[in-house]
Amino acid sequence: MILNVAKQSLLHRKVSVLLTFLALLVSVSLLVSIEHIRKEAKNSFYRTVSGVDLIVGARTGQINLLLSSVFRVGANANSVSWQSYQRIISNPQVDWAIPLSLGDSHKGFAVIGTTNDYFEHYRYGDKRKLSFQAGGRFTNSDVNEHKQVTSMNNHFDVVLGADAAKQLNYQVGEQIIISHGVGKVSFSHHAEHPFTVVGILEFTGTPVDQGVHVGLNAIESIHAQPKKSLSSNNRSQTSLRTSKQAEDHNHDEHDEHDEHDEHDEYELAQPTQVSAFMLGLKSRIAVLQVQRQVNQDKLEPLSAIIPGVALGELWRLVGAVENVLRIISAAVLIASLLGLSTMLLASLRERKAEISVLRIMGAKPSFVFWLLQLEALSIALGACVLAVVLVTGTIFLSNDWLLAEYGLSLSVNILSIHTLLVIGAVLLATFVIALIPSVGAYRNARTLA
Amino acid sequence: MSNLPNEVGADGSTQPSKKPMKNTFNEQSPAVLVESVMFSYVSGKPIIDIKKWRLNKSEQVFLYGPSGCGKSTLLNLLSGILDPQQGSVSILNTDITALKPSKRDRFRAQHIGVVFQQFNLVPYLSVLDNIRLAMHFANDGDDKQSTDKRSTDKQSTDKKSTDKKSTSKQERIISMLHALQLPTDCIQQKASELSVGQQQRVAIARALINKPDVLIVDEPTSSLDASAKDAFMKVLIETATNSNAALIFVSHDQSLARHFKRIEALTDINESAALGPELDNKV
Repeated sequence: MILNVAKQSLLHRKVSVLLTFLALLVSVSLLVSIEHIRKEAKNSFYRTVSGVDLIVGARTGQINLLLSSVFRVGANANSVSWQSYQRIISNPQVDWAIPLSLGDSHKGFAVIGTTNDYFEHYRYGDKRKLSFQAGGRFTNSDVNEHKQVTSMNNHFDVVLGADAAKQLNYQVGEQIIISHGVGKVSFSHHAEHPFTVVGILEFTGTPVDQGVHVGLNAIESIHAQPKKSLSSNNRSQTSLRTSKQAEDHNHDEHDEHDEHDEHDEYELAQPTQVSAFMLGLKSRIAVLQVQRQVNQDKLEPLSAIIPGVALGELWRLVGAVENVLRIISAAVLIASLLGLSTMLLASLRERKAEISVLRIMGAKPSFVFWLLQLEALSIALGACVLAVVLVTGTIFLSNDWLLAEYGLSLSVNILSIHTLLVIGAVLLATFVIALIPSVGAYRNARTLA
Repeated sequence: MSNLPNEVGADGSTQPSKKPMKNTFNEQSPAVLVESVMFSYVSGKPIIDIKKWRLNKSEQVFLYGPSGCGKSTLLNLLSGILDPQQGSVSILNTDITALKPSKRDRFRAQHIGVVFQQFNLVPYLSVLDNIRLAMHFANDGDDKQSTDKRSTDKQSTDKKSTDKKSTSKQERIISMLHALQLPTDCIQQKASELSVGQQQRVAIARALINKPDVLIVDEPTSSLDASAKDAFMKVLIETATNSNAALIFVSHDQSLARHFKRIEALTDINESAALGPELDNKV
């Protein structure tokens, strides 16, 4: 009965109810979508790398190293020498290693020099392995077989991330030119080194999608090449230091190993350095021990970070923004709930007669109280339900666009426990704020006739 | 007075106990008994001071009350909306001033019907829903009690019986509206869409639907024209008589007194009526 009365009462004041409802709908939608995006962003953030025990780079802060090695944001000016790399991965605790050589770009996409171990051992999400939507791994760039010259026609292999392939519109078998430096516009093109696309990775929702993966030695070859045709002042400033180091290391290596036999223009250089490398250990228990060993390395200043720990720290930085968003949406919600409360309070004056009719019929004051609460709560609940539908629809319709434009993949299913908690909180807030008019009505009902 | 709480329990909780009381019809047992009631909004300035006033069952009384004599306050005291500072108001031997507020609300729903000057209906509800709501308040406690006792396997049969109940309810409402000379098709109309005269008749239906023992009517005709007034009075007296309810009719319009046998002036009953009109503005 009280439900019917509340329903008729709301229908009776259609316009003000509708306006209040819309205000609430907007704010609840805002709150629900912010919470959903926040959750999804956090998820995909933590999904970027998994199954990697340690990331090692030249001495730097852990966030720096994480950003440059996993997110390809910024560059670590220093590198790890090939000797140190070899020394660390020879540790009996080390199961596998993925070397990463960073700092180059191709049309705005980061170029990652690595080995086939990348496709073998890199994990994202719930320890998911990278898989190929077309083609396959490098055919000729395994560091350990660097003596094998590139393919017959002097091509290097390249494996593209899903987004990179889609946006650059490259197919397997296509030849591309890799430019130098990380900027989108690059002034020195390594025109001498055409690359052939051999594989395209499946979409992962991680920075891997934006990667252009080439063999480690391919990068080395590019950078070793100036000996012949380019002088070092032709290079972009950012990589100046690195390339100098590279030359130094080249000399060392050449002295040590005496591998000057091939002076072909497209010789495959021996890697002299890596920007960073990821380690998988035989046992997780050894993580802290190996980390300490790397950090205390006497021969070269190195940093080893635990990805999970570094991700957590980075998220805390990002999380501040997230909290600001939350506070804003909560403030918007409270504003519209106050609007709801004002609407009910304003209607009380005209409902005085109605309340006394209800009382004379034998309604308890609590009936009047719950009548107003029910009206407020049903507006709020209606707004919540429609907000969920609206946000789901919006995500469903804009998913492709978000993915193409921002590489953002949002789950359409927003009805998580978390969303339900948000809705619960909205209803609770409605109840509390609607206490203002409903207690007023209750008092009226008790004294007025 | 000491046995009153027991009376209250029997009277306030179940419908059937009402019937025997009606059967033991007795001129001497009063429908309304007001004893040494004092009420004031501002302490020290009583607006109501009634030593003793009684109304027998099925009796109809015209209370003449010019404005400012505490008329509305008295009606609120009689219907248990207001609580007197002193004295007792008994309806059918039940001292309503001694009842707990929630019990008093139910007692009012079951035993007292009230029709005001205006605004007698919830404007956004249909005529049917308005009357149903009044029935709901009267049966509220019964429904709760019975659902508590019900076991789950019985529920389907109960539903059927409640369906039957609701159709008989509707029939009752329709025959009531018919008696009040209201068109049957107005039942689905919103109360606010009816004319004032129709609204007042629906108000009587709403007030009488629970077969109250006392019907309190406060200036119901003040917004009606002369011909509508007469028609309304005729219908009111007739239905009140048919339902055996005691009728308290309060008005400042002495021309209406001809419809009644017992006529009293409120100023004679209320000894503090001389207080002046400014206090009545509060009511």
